[in-house]
Amino acid sequence: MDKQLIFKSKYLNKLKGEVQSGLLIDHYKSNLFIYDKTQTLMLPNIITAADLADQLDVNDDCKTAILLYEAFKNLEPIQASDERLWTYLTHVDLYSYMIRRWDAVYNSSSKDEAKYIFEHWFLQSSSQSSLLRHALAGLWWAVSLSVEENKGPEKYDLTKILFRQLDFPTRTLGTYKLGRHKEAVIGILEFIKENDDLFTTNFEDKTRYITKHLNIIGGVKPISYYKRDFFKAELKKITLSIQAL
Amino acid sequence: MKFTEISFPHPVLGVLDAIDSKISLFPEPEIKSNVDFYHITIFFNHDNNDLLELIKIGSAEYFCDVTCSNTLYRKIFTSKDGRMEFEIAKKAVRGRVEFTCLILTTVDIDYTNTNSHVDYYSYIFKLDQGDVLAYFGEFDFDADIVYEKLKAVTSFMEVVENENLTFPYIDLKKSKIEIQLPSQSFKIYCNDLISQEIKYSPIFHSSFVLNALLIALYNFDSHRDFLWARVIEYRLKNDFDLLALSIQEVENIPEIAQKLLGNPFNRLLEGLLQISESTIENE
Repeated sequence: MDKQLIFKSKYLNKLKGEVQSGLLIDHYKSNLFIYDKTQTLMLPNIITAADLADQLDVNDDCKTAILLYEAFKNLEPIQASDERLWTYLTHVDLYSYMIRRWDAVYNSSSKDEAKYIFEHWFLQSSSQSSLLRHALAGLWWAVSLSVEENKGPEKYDLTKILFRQLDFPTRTLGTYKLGRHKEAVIGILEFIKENDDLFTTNFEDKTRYITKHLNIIGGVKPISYYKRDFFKAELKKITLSIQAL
Repeated sequence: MKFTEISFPHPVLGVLDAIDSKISLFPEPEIKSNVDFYHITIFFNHDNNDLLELIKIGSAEYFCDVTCSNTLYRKIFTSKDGRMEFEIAKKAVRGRVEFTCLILTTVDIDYTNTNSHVDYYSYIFKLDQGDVLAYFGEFDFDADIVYEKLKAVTSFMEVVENENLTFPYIDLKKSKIEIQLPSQSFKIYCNDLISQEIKYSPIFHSSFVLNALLIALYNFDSHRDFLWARVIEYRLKNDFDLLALSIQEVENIPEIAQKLLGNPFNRLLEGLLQISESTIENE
């Protein structure tokens, strides 16, 4: 079994420079991204996910996220936040998925092609919000934050709630400091699951509201101290406000 | 939590003048690094008897919240005494790792503090489990910095090839200060007779390395987020020889550069003397 490859840092910077200058943009309109195969390193403890690109579903982010997470389950946090890995995956192993899921440059419909490529193919920085917004890293981390390994076949039930609307993991919950505390994420998702009738309408507005509300509580209380029941209890107190949205 | 911007409904030691007692992280937190872990020791220091009593009876505890935005790491550590020790796996963090040190309630309590400000007199505060009683402050360290190798110039600078150049270029927008050489110059530089020859290193240090470092230091403020600047900042704060030299004072920069490179002018002169003596011997 082949070991997973990543780009060398210098090559990654070269790619960025050439996208910035416009030199490389036409490469993203091709069915195969041409890259310098000598500019890679091996991750010795991670096995490459053969045929993963063919299994990913451009119409189902949750399914894709779970498949991606399963394929790279053994990533350590320091590897899962490594720009060299995610950029290699977007450009090589999962390129065929990328041009189907984020196709604006591929089909020449993007107004700012360099910006579009940077937003989807590269990590903008190594911060939490950048990781969660990345086309692949964001999916992996969203599953990592919501999976409950001890729940057997139901272990992805909360992940499925998180992915009801892509902005919830990638723009709302995931980008707040709150999103770094798994107990908070689980607490919020369990509250949604247990009060499903509350969230049948205006899911996006409501999830934004509850995330903001808990973030305000985090301004005066040390969020990381609390378990999931604390967050559920806090949300229960504002049930009427959620209902009114 | 931004403690400097919060006025709590109850008195919190360490926030404004809510409680008249001493509080600090003293001695300074220790961060030691081994192959797989960072070993952290924190000394919570205060002299508030009411809080000491709450901790003694188990109604409060020392608490440290550790976060790393780059790896979504968030973990808490607690202790019943003022010395807290714990480890963080190196594979769990990248870049800035931040610590917030507090005392929290461990149960719901009715709270008063004998040393609190007069504004709080005669009130009894109903606190929930997890409420903040004291704020010792925050600190951080940079997991990208290899502390054991900080003395080496290679911790903040490197020489690379740039085939598009005719003249050398100093690039400060990289994790290390990059001295970019045109291909022809780079090939000469890489020749073992030059780059691997230890007696020439003072010549490199006092020529293009010093030049590049000076350019970097004069542009330090606008590049603070880059790894090279964080490495140099760490050395400015921790090297005994550099402590008295503020980088904000521009006239200090030549001396800072000389000290960071271990007095390259002097080493250059000594090196030239050595080369000249060995040449005479060979003749």
